[in-house]
Amino acid sequence: MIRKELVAASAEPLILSLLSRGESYGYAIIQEVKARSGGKLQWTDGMLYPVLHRMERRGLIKSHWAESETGRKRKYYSIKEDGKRAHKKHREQWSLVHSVLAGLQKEQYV
Amino acid sequence: MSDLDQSIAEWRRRMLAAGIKTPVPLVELENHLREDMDHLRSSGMPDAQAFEIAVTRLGKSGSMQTEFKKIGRMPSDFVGLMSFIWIGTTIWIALVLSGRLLSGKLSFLLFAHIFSLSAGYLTVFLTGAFGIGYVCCRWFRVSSPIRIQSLSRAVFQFSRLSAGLVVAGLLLGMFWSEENRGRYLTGDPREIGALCVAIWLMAMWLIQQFSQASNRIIMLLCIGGSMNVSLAWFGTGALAHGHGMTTFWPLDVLLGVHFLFLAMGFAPANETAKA
Repeated sequence: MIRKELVAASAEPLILSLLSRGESYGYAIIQEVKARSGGKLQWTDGMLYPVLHRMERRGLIKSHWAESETGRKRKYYSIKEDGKRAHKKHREQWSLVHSVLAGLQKEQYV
Repeated sequence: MSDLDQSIAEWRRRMLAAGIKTPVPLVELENHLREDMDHLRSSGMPDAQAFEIAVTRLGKSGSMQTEFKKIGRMPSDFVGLMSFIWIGTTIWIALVLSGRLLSGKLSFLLFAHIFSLSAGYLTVFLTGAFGIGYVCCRWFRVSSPIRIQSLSRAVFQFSRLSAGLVVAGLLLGMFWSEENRGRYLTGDPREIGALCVAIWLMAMWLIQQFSQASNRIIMLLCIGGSMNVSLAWFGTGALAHGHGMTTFWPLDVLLGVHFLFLAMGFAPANETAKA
């Protein structure tokens, strides 16, 4: 299981990344992250919503209510221009961290 | 009412008691709970067990409320107030100029030129005020990423608007000048001032659009833009009325205030925000 600090730090970039592929809603976002991480990256479900609301307040994403196929109302989130810029920044920063770690690991085995 | 509905109603009461009172989060959380329960029940799990697991996954009401509280109030009070003043002043300028247009003192072209340029200058002052707001937030340690984000968003939108208005005003002025004085550019100090402001704003637009400049740099550029407009608007006005730029004290005070905030913005002290 991944440490909670890393889970918290990765929440925003992961949400932006998922929403950059198209609009989605809370439950689906959690299921997608769970599936893609093989269940290793697990958020406490309810904690996703304050993060989504904060990102909406910051103008990174926007939301609208719509009816699902079951007739239940769902709040759908989609990425905004500021969100796309923030997503690009996150990607650069995480890539940098990854490349430093990969470089150090490579050196250990040389 | 079924057992399941009773359980959900009880869960809602617990959430409300914990302080999740705003309707949107609670409705959203309840929808999530029901989606998860549907998913669990579709795999053959009994209702009561599905409910228990979904509630556990959703998390404790207290910790959720703590997270919702962190979002806090809208940080845009300052942005809202300044925008309100800006709208009021722009309407006042439009009304004054409309009066002169209707009484025949201004041609429509001159009216459009003066209005565009004045509204553009006013918008630059507004972005300057946002820059000063940013410096104050940083200086007095009241910065938060949300507040900074709100200011940056306002600056991004208003600086584009100001560039459009000033360039439009400048072009309209050139057409008026050609029509009435036979030349597009006459070398009038106000014309040169407007040209300087337009160049400054276009450069700022390019920086915002294509560079990775930090919020701090953008905000300081906004204060610089406001100084530029002070000179282009009031400085050239002072010259036109026979004052020297350095002997017109309101302008000196205005520039002094800008310099003070610019210096505070450059100072490295009290950096707490993610600039």
